[in-house]
Amino acid sequence: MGISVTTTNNELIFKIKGEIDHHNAVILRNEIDSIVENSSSEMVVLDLLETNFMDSAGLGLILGRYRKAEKLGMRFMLVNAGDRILRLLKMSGLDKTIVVKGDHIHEESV
Amino acid sequence: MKNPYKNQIKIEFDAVSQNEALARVIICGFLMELHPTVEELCDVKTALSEAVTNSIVHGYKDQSGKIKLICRIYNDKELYISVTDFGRGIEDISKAREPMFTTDRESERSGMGFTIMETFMDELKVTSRVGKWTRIVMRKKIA
Repeated sequence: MGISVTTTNNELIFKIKGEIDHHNAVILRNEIDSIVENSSSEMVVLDLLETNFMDSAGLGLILGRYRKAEKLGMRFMLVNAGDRILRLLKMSGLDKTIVVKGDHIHEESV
Repeated sequence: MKNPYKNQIKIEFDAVSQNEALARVIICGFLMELHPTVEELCDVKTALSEAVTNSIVHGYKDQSGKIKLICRIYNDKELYISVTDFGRGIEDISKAREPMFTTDRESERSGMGFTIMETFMDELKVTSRVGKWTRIVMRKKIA
């Protein structure tokens, strides 16, 4: 499990690699929050392209990061959520709260 | 005398969060002989992950303990899983099984554990004795 961070065009993109379960969620939460809290970006993006497992702890992680971003006045988006993750999001109703995109295209600023 | 089930494993492990991943690996290995689809395997892994996490987070809270995992194959294609902890127990099981219900205020628990187990497995039974133990039994037919 690992996380890589990219900053692009006022976006803070966290790519979560590997598995998200209760054990990992704590580590991920602390890492993400410490960066978000010290950032002036306008949007927080969680990229789940390389997330190959997620249980309900992942739902908690996503919701928690969304709430944190909101509190800091940042937008929040989930990208590259595969079918299984989408299924969990629908089961919990989280898909109605959070912006979920298939993939995210970055436009170069002029 | 012949066993009613084709194969069985009984594993006891410490109720620590790093063993959530271990439990998933164990069930993957055990299930291989039934040649599950990727979908079936993921469903079972996720359901088991929820059960083990519940034992750690709720059964034992901040205390140490053991989790007993029993897996069996019945009738050549039915998976049976039982997860038992010897922790606090559940006072009101039907309330605990309500979607979104969680007693965990501090950390970011979604309250979806039982819903996920119910959805991804064919059958879920929860029994408990307050102050003594909680047992989750799940079954799934692997096609």
